[in-house]
Amino acid sequence: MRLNQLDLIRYGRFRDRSLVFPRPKDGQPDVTIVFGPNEAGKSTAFEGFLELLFGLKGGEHRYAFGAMKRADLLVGAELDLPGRGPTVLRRNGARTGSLMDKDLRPVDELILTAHLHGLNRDAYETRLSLNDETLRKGGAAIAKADGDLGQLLHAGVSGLSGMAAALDGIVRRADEFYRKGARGTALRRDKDRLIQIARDLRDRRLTPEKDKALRKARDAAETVFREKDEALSIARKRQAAGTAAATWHRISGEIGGLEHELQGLPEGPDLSPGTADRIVKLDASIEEKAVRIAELKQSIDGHRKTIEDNPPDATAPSLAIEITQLEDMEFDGAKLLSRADTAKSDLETRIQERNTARSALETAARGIAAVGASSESLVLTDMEIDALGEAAQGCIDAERDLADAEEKRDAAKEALGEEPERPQDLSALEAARNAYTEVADLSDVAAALRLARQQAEESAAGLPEGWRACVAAGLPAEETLNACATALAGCVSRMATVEDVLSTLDAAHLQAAEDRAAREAAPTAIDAAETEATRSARDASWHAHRSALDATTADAFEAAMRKDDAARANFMAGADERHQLATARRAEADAKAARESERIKLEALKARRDEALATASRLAEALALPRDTEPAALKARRKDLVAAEKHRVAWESAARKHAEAEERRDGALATLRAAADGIVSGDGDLAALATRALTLRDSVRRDWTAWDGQRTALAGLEADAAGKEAARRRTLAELDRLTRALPLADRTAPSVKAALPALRIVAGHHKDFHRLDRRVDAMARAIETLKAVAGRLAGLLGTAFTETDDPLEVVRIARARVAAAGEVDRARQSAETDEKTETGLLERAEAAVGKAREEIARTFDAQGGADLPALEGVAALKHRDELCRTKHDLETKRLEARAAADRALFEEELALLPDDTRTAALETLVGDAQGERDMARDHRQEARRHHDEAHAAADPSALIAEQAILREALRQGARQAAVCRIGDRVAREALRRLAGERRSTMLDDVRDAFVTMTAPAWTNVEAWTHDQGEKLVGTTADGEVVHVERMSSGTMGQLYFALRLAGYRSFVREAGPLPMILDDIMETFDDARAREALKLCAELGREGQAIMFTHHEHLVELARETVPDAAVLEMHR
Amino acid sequence: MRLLVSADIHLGSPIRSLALRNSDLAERLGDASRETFRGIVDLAIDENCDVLVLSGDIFDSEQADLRIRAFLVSQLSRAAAAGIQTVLIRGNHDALLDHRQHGELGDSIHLLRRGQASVDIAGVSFHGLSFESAHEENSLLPDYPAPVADRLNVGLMHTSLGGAVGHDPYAPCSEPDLMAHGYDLWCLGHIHAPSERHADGCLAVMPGIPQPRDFGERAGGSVTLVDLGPDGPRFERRAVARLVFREKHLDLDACETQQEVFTLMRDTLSALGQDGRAVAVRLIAATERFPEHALLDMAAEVLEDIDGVFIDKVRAAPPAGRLDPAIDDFVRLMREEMCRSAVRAAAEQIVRDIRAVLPADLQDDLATTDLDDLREDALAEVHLEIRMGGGA
Repeated sequence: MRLNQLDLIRYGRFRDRSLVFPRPKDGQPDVTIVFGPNEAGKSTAFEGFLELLFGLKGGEHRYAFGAMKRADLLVGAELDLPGRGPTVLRRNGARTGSLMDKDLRPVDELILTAHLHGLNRDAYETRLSLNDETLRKGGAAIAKADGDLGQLLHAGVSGLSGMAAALDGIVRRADEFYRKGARGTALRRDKDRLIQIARDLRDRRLTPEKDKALRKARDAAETVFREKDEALSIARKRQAAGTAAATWHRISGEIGGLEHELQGLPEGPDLSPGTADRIVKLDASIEEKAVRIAELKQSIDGHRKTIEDNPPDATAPSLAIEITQLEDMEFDGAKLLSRADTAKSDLETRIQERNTARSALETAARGIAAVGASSESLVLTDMEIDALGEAAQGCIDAERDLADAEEKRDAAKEALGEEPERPQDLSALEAARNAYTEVADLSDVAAALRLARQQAEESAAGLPEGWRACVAAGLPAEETLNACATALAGCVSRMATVEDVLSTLDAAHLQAAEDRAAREAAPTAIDAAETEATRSARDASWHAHRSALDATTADAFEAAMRKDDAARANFMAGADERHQLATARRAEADAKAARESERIKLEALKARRDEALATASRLAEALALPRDTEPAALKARRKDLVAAEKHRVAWESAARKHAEAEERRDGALATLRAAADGIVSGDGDLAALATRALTLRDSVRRDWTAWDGQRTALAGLEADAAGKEAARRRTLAELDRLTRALPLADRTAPSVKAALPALRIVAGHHKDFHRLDRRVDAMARAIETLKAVAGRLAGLLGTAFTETDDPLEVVRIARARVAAAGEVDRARQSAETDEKTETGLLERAEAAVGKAREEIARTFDAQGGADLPALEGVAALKHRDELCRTKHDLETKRLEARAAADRALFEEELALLPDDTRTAALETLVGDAQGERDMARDHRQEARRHHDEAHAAADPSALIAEQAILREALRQGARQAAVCRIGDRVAREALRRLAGERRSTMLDDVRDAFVTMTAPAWTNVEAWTHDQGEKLVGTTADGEVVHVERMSSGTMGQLYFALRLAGYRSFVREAGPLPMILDDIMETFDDARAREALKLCAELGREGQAIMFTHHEHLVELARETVPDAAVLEMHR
Repeated sequence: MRLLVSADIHLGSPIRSLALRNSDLAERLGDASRETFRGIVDLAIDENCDVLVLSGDIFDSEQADLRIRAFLVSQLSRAAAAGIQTVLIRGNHDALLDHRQHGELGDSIHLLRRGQASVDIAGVSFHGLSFESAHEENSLLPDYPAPVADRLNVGLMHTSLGGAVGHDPYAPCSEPDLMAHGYDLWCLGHIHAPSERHADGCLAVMPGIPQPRDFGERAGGSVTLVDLGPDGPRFERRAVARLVFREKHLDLDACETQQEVFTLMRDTLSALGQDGRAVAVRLIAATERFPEHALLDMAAEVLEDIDGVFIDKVRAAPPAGRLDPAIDDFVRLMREEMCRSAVRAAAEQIVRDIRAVLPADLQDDLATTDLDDLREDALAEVHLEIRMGGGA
């Protein structure tokens, strides 16, 4: 591939800018210097070239901003492609189909990819471009490679110079996991931790076996404890029995002393509890009650004398009744007695006020009453007067409303004219007209139908007859076509390369075979097996001759002997030849194997090609093409078929839509015709006629609607006037009903309204008169009642009473008489009550004394000592009873002590008493048993604790989880370490192979380039064999051999440049030329070296295309001097 | 009748993922199997289940701890207090369920075994056989009781059926024979990926492991609810796992900068972990620029801002076709070297050397039989490392 022209059409800041890379003259190197200052766009041009080859980068593109969208970006080039010649291509920012021809029609990516030899953009950049930075990094990487020939040649071929660092990194990661003899590796650390965890888990895990052991220990401890506890219990029982026996022994002595004292006291049963105290209390009570009896007898005599001195008054009860009734009488809201003084004068005043009210009533009634009517007949309540007022006002209002309504009605009647023409209902006609108008126009669908038909016919024009059958059977996918074309192109390209290699290998094998045959032909090439064969032949001839002993066998034996001697002589002399023959045979075998490998590769490629061709034939047939059609043409045919089918379907769809539109239009016209029947007449466009009828309908409807509104309003006014008339009649009737019984002089509504104040005054005076009349009557009746009561009181007192006497004085005398009788009654009744009470007390005191004396006598029945005074006798009996109780208590204690102890042990211990040492001995016995029991208890608690703690121990799940994580880490780490170590091993072996394969083709190129650039300081570069493989060393002009890692950084950069140039040459030899881009790589070179480097670029340009970007003018000048035929392009800011 | 069917709980067995190197996650999931089982009992109570069915491998033979048995009893007692009876059988990991050694489990908990192979609950007959040994080579189906007439019959069996990847053959049983036995429902165990089968009115449920322990068990994580109604059994899976495993593929081929990788990773990882459960994710990256250790560092940084998502593992490999010997000469040479017997022997020796220093129980995980995979990974590793460090 050669870049003839780069077109930056819409790219970065470039618009329609082209860079033309002129073809060199015959025999001249293809070198173009692109010169421009910084920011001139050299990097943009390089990037544009890469994006043309590989497509625009995904995501947001750096040049797609502002008005320039990604899809607008466009780069192009004219490329000289092997087999196609100059080809103009364009590339835009579309996601698919971005590669186009000069007319911007999409073309297959295969046009480019077939010539890029599998390189992607990254690989192209690393292998086929070089800039100052990569040169510096490459130089540094060479130092790290430690001169390793494989790594250096790999760097030259691939452009990737980090091999040493990569392999170091891989090995370091493996070492971090595990390295023999190393400490602190991840493996060691995690293994140690796993051991620790396993140990902890063993301790903390409660396995069934562990649980069984713990339970066994716990149960054994429990058994021992129970035994010791039983022994302690027995010791304690014996100690308790000893204590009980001692108690028994001591109490028995005390009981003997008590029995002796009881013999001197009276016999008899025990006194009941409290008997002694009771006797003492009875004795004291008898004396106290004798004094009281004397006092009561004297008081009773005093009460009887008071009763005789206060007899009862027989008149007082009647007087009290009368006075009580009088005090209950009321007048004018107060007690009659309290108002009696003022009653007479009040009566006169009220009679005068009553008469005044009567006069005012008569006066007010006379102003409004009819002649001869009484004032009483004009008295009304307030509610009646209010109703009368409302009725009168209602009549006045109704009269006024009726007049207003009649006036409006008459005015409206005059304004209403004649009825205009009535409108018709045209809504159906309007709907039909609208529906028809919507579907009447078919011009759009007709035009669409024409266009679709035209497109369908055009797209199917170049296709064979049966194209629709192909489409119906299903077209192969575009990816299938691409894959087929790619596979075929790849096979063909690869086959050409392999065939070249195979021819070389054939020649090499032929040469090796000839060499081997020549060496085999030499007599000294004989091997040991052949000497053994001649020896065997000689021995056989000898045996034959020995048997026959004739001339023939003798000759044969001689010949065999000579042959054997010659063979042995040749064998002895042919050590070197045999070694060379073996080497030649190995070389032949190697050459044969290499040729065979390449031949198998070629056969496989042919098979893949044939398979791809067969696939292409099937695909062609499926696309209605001849079977031998070029695969590149399949895609276009598929595209044509897809387009034709798409347009055919569109045509059918358009025809269907057109027919549907016609059907809709005809239906709407029929509906319109039916709706217009009887409404529209005349010839012409039915829709226009209908529209005209609808327009006239509007004005008729407006006139009739206005007249109808006026008529409706007049009917409303007439109804209103009639309503008002009815209301007026109702109000007059109501006024008449209310005034029918009233003797008014004038009963019209205005007169009634004017009489309302006078009616209210009449009602007020009538109410005052009747109130005063009722009060006067009540006062007169009260005075009469008081006098009657006073007369009855005087009769009971036995005195006279007249009309002139003061009734209140009689009442006062009667009250005094009643009060005196009450005092006498109270004195007498008190004495009677006291006398009765004290007589009862006297009787009870005398009975109590007798009873006490009887009880004392009963106490001494059946007791000894009855001859003693009561108090002394009781004291003796009480002492006797106390001694008996003490004795009983002691006996109880003694029995209780014995009952609390084991009976047998008690008897044993009692038999040992008296013994002063026995208590101490028993304490020692219990102490020992207690100690042993406590020890067993502690053991039991410890065993229980172990068991319980094992069950309640912290859950080990965290440890188990950590164990699982560590195991997973080791699992993955071990695998990754194995991967790294194998990777390192395989990579180093591959590098050795690379050195072996490439050294013959590249090492000379490297040496030539390096020496050319660095002469005269350096005279040679060669590979030295070391223990670990071959290493590159340089030779100075002084003959000193310098290892690569000891070269200066500048020299290393130049060595790296030399390697890359050699790599490029190697690539071109294998895959064919691709443009090599050199971006200001000679900045750090001095002029002499830059000049030599430019010469190398010229060499590079003889095999491919070299494009060198620079912003250094002096490098341009140097280039013009060094490579006179180099083209120079200038770029400006 | 409503059943909750589970199996292969492996109580006490830990999560085996490097995701748990995150201390917060390790604290949350240190006891994941038990927490999940606690959740299963909660679910049975919430769903008003009548019976909890456990079809073996309730315990894990590597975690023989009586406290785990005590935990099981406490949880099943809790279910019993809520009116839920439990029917269970022993699997090949269930030595702790040996009633002769450890006693019965309690009221309302029915361990089915030989001599006590059936139990009747609310008119439904449950049948099951417990395993007596860790390895059972023959089908136990012939020993199962015949179905009880005029009743619904439910079977419990721990079996590898016809065989399953990653599971030892255990009491193998032909699936057609199983479905034709006459039961209405089979509750199965042993295979950790859930599945269901219908045939002739019979439903077979393999509920799977409720809490996956590693990436290989990522299909699990659920239990199965079964309704035994007049129309036949109906089932519904319910997720119960505290941690789920996911696999995500990242195409980093178009990413030129680490920033773009960060963005793609963030978008991919933040879409996970939306349902509140922790997610351990295995990232498979197609890239020519970033080896695994670099991607692992980047993923760790991205996940600092994303809750509930953790890295189980990162694998990086060049995009398909990039290791084509026809394109890359060095790849060709490496592939050819790999085929050489001397190199192959050296690689086997490397594997043997590393195996030898591993703990004994991990040595089988690194086998020379995996050599082809190891060499492919080695090729990718070298390729990526050169691309990463050698773009000069």
